[in-house]
Amino acid sequence: MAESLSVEALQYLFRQAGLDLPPERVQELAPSVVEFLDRLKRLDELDLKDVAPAFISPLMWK
Amino acid sequence: MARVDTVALTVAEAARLVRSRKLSPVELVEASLRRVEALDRRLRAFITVLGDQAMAEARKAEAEIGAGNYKGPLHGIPISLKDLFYTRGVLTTAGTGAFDDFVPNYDATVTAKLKEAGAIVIGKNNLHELAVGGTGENPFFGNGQNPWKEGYVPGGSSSGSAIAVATGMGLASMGSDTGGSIRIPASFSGVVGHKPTYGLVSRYGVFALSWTLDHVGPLTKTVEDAAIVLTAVAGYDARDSGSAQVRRRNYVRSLRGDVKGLRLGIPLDPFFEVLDKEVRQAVSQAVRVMRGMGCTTRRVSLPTAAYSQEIGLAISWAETASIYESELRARFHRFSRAVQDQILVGLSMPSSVYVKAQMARAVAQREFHRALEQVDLIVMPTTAVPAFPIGSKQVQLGGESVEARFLPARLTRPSNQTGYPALSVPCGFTREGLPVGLQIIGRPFEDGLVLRLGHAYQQATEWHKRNQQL
Repeated sequence: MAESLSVEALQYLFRQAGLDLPPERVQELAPSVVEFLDRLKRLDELDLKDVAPAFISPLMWK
Repeated sequence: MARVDTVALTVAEAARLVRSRKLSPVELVEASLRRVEALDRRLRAFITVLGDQAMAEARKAEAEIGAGNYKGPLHGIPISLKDLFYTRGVLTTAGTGAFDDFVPNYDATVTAKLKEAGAIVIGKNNLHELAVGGTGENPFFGNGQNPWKEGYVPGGSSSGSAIAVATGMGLASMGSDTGGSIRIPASFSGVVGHKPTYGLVSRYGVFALSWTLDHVGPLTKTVEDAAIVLTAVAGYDARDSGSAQVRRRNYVRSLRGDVKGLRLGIPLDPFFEVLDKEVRQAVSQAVRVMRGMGCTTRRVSLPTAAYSQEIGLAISWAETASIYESELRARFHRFSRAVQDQILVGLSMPSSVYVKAQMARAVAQREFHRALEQVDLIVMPTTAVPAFPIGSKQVQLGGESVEARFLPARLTRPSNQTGYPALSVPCGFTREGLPVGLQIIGRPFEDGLVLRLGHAYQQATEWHKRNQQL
């Protein structure tokens, strides 16, 4: 999986956030990004068809 | 007069003594500070101790009470605050080197309310760095130690709050909870922790981690004490966008009702069955006690809770990255490597994954809503395992080796995602002498009912009266 996430792509993302990180730092981080995104793929097991996101609902209680 | 013993003393008991002038706030604060002096080098509960300031406040409270101006049950009571609550003129670090020089120029709403109620802040509590973990390990201010077994984690992120309350370094503390950070240390360290309904207590002036998951609430020795503190801090605050406009209540009065006939839901999906054996035994026994109190039990199904880790990580890491993006730019090397990595990973996450997690959260909320139509409250363990050794990378659970960093929040995350009130109450000890916590979850804004069952359980049991040998 790691080959699908290039250091250059990550560096570009971080530059968008104003963070100019050295390539070796990004290289070290890349496996953590891949692991995290792979972990979240588990959410695809859920049937979320026609489900509206919940993130506003707690705020609507006021 | 004999020296005051703050280890066994509750807020409610101390308040009765202070009100009747049998105990002075000066003696109480002195006794709490003596405990800090004796224990904190080992246990690491505090980042800042406000000795002189607290003594001055104690003398002021003593004079006020002596003059007949008693403010209520927190007047003259020594408390502490997790070091992410703003305190005007006092260092507030959020447990990270990135803010180790930050001195706010105003009080958090909760800080101000506690001071108005007459509480005396004796210090600021240690925490997992930036509140982003459940163990209480901290590379800048020292690893919090479990008060029942040194070398074991106290639970986090409100680690210092739980240690302080458990050991009499103050009688109550305020913590924050994004995935379990009040209830986990309460469970691991043998105290009461209450995560109120989302919106019930203001988060204004509290370092944020995740706007849609963050809650703040009390850690205390008893549920009665939690009700006293909640009564003081609850209420609408226009400066917190998530604050709810609900009627103010006296939560101590909520404790008085009957629990006979309450219907308790026990989640029995496979996810909830994966438990440490001794945790299962202690919680099963607690449920038997509740049946003996006249409660009835039935199974409820919450299948999406099995995805609560992924939901919680996606939401909280994305929101944390958004909140701290500019701070990471400004102070990159002052955060630990672990926090740098978490924020960077959060910045790398596609927005579609964040929205997907919020959709899954909606499904989980619906399941809790349906379950709480069939029952009045849900009961389950607070944590699947008791405290484990500091530095553990993996912990055994259900015959498998699981990541220690995510394990403590396994059973607490769902209530952050629903926003429903959840309480952790001590319900036993393992053979090694480590506490076990029982979690009680209720409908939104029925915090009073949650506290009532927890209080009734404490009246029927003695677990909260056990003290450590330190």
